[in-house]
Amino acid sequence: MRPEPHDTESDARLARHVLREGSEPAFRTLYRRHSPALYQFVLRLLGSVSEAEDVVQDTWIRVVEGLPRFRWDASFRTWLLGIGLNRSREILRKACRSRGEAPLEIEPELPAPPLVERIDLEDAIQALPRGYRAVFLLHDVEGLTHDEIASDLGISAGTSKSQLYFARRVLRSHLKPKGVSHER
Amino acid sequence: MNDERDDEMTPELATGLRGLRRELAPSDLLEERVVRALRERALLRPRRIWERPLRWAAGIAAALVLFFSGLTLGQRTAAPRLAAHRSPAVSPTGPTPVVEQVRQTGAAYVRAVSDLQGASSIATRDQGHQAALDSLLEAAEELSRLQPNDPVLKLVLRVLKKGAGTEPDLSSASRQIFWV
Repeated sequence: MRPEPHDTESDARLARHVLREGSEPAFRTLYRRHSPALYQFVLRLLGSVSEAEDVVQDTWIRVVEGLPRFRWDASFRTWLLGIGLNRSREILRKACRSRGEAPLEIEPELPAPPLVERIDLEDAIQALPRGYRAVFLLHDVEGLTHDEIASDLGISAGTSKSQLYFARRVLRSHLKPKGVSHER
Repeated sequence: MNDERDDEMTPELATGLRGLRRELAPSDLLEERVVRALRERALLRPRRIWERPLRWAAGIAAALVLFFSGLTLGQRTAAPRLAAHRSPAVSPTGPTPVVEQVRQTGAAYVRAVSDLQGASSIATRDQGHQAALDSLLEAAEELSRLQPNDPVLKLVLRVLKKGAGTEPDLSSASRQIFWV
């Protein structure tokens, strides 16, 4: 990628350029700085490249539209990921409605994985039920607290904790070395 | 930040988490797609190659206009004050303060005499007239000391003294006046 003159400027300063002048170079710098994290996050959450790309696009549109209201109490990246998460939830909700599932809610306790093969964590995360996956990604990968997750996902902090517990349990069982029986 | 205890975290899971990729760059096409979508919503202005030079040129032009406006304004406002307080060291080719003072005082004298025409009472006009003549005589005397051989000044001084009653013979002076 070509270096931009805004590369060293802070998020707040770049956002101001975008907001006041509609500066495309400033936006591109912001985009290139934060999109890889956003894209990775929503791709893990949704498991689909095309859906993840749609979410990234919609998220940036919402971000630029929402800049006048952003108070900078949180970091720009946290705000961006929050918007990306909400957009992802909308997509998941839509997909689940069509399948008659409940999105991002407490999952029933999972049956034991049929295989005790050691698999890649990335694949294991993708194999998680969506509710577990969202909480696990937000907590263990993005570092949010249960209160923040509860606020973002519209669930209680207790639900967030229990989902994380089950998510880790499933992941642990997936990551057991070959030949070792998983816990249940 | 993260408020969960680590008792559910096995070494395998912790290792896996540490090795988990945090970022994945989307395709360049997606960036163009996003930018285009924002332009269509008028949330971004398209970048044009002439934009930056034009902005520089406009900035320089504005700076020049500001500079010359300030210069002109400064010259207009400061000139009278400079003229009044100018010293020979500062402006050797211009009029000295004394000469300028003579000019200004002379102009004030003429204005004051002119203002006598608007005086409401005859007594005021007469008193003013006499005061003007006295000042004129004093000035002529001062000038004669400065230039004793100036013939015009000699004649003026004689006429004024005659009018003031200090010069008895005016005939030769009157003739000189007509002949000069």
